Amino acid sequence: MRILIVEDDEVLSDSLIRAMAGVGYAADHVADGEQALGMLRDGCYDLAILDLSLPGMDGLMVLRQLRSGKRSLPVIILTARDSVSDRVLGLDLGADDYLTKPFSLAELEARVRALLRRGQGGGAAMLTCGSLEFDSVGRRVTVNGEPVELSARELAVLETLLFRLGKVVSKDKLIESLCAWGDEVTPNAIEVYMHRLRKKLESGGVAIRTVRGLGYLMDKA
Amino acid sequence: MRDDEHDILSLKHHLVNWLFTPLYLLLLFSTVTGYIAALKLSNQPYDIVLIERARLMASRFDLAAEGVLPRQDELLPNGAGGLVYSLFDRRGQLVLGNASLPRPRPADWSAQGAKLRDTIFGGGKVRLLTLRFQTTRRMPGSEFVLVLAEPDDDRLALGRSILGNIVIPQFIFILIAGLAVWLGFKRGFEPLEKLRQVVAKRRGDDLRPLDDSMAPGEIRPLIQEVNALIARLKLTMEQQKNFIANAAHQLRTPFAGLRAQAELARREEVPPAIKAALEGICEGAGRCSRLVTQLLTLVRNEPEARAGVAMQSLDLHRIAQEAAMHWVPEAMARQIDLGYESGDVQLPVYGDEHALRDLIDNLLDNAIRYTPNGGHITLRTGYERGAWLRVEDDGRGIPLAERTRIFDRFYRVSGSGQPGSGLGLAIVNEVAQRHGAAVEIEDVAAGSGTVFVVRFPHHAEAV
Repeated sequence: MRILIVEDDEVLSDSLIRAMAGVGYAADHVADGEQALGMLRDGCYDLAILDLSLPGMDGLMVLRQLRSGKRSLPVIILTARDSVSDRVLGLDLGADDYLTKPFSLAELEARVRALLRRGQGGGAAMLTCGSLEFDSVGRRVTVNGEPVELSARELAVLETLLFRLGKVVSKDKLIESLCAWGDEVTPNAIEVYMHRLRKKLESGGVAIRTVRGLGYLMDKA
Repeated sequence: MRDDEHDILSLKHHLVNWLFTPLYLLLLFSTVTGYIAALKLSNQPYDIVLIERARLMASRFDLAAEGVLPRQDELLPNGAGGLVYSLFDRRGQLVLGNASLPRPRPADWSAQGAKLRDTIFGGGKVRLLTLRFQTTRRMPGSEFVLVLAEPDDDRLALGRSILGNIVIPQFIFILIAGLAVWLGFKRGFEPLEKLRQVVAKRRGDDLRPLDDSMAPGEIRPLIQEVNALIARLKLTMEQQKNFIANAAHQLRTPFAGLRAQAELARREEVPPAIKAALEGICEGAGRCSRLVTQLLTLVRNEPEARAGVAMQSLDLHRIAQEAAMHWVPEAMARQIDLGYESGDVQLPVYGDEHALRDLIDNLLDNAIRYTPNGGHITLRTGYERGAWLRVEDDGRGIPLAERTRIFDRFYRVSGSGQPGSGLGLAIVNEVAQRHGAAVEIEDVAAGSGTVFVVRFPHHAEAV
């Protein structure tokens, strides 16, 4: 995996190169927009981390030119601007993700990982949390390698929670995910599914937490 | 000194002085001239009557029987009526009448017809008439002078009555004129007073130009100059704010570098002392980053920055729910139970969604920061004459003495030991003000947590 880091701040770009190298990616660095565009067009990169405020050609222009050349290379924008219009513009121009400075390296690494995996076409076929593994294609769940029997509705609820791991999923969202089965799902029914899931996944080192008034959150125990 | 200056500069004083002083001098002048005119007018008819009576007396004296001096009732058949008379012959001898009346002066012997003057007689003012005449029947051709004194009482009474008829209406006219001037002042100064109230009610950061459409033409140029000054002030303030925003933006990249470098270093195997130092650097960089972010949020929420952002009908319930969901992982990391409770499904507010989100985010961030591990935070929303939201925590609470100051920029509760930016509640306040919402800290017993309540104005339109 080869990553191009387009950033004109030396201290920051140095840390980015080392961080990428640390997780096993080859990273090149360029500080100039026009140069960056040329290197990206050559096509030997799998992902670009692009700062917006660059000397010469600014980041949004680089992105616009890159996308007009039909390059579908994943791009993560880094910026000191955090106004909503900037964010929307960046995403409209075809950025795949957006991080506002300052950010945590762990966050950047996670997003790079996610984008590269998506770029490989694999998608998120295998969702994991603790010792729980969820094969979203084969609709199978294992805990510590042991298969766990789940109903179709329980699977749908678990998948929704796993997609938003560590984040709150509202009851409405869970009800929506069960709508495919046609019949009405009440909030009480969701509580029943949660109760069953917690019991069945007890030994997997995962926790389904109830968040008062908001919904549920899945997390490592 | 101040008061004197004020008096000199007061437009009202100028107008009163320059209108009322001449007006009252005029009253005085017209009273005096009126009095003189009244006396003159009242003399004329009495004088004519007096002269007529003197002529009659003279002709009666001429017609009286030869050799006998006529009696008073022959000379004045209709009664004396307060008249005193005396008659002198050419030699100056008193022929008849009252001897104590003034004798005729030499000029009276050469005068043609009647002569009138004012004098004092018998302790009172009198009108004194002298009439030189020649007899035709009694000792024909001999000259006499008749002296006739009439008390002034009647003519003075007439004069006073004429004076009263002139002065009293004049006084009333001037009173009415004064009242009209005063009313004119009041009406004329009304737009100025309204303008004063408008300016007095202005918020310090409201830099819209003043409306000069209602101002009198004379002060419109002044208002236009003030507006030009406001415009220059606005430009200066905008430049300053842009500078702050730019400075904050510029700081973000170096902070990002610092933080990333520290994070990288922390991953290495290093002696514990260096590890601790790196932790400190990481935390410091994090705090700087947060401060910069908060600073930008605050600048972003200032009225000028949001001037172009249209307010719209929103559902506070949805925004609050999203905000609460966002903060749950952070709260969980500190074993804080963050929950959301709402009585109503739809809470219409009229506002700016990003700003409202900033408001709720800062209240929740604040609560998480100041609630000890294992504590509870509840975000509640509802509707009562307008949407409201409350953030309740069971932290240590805010001392009563500090409650008024916590909305100040960079103010931090003393001894809280928390690395806050001191800007969170300033942001809350800024957003609330722009939405016409009131932020209160509800009174709870000391040490048993804090409750922030934000009450929005009524907005009927559902989203």
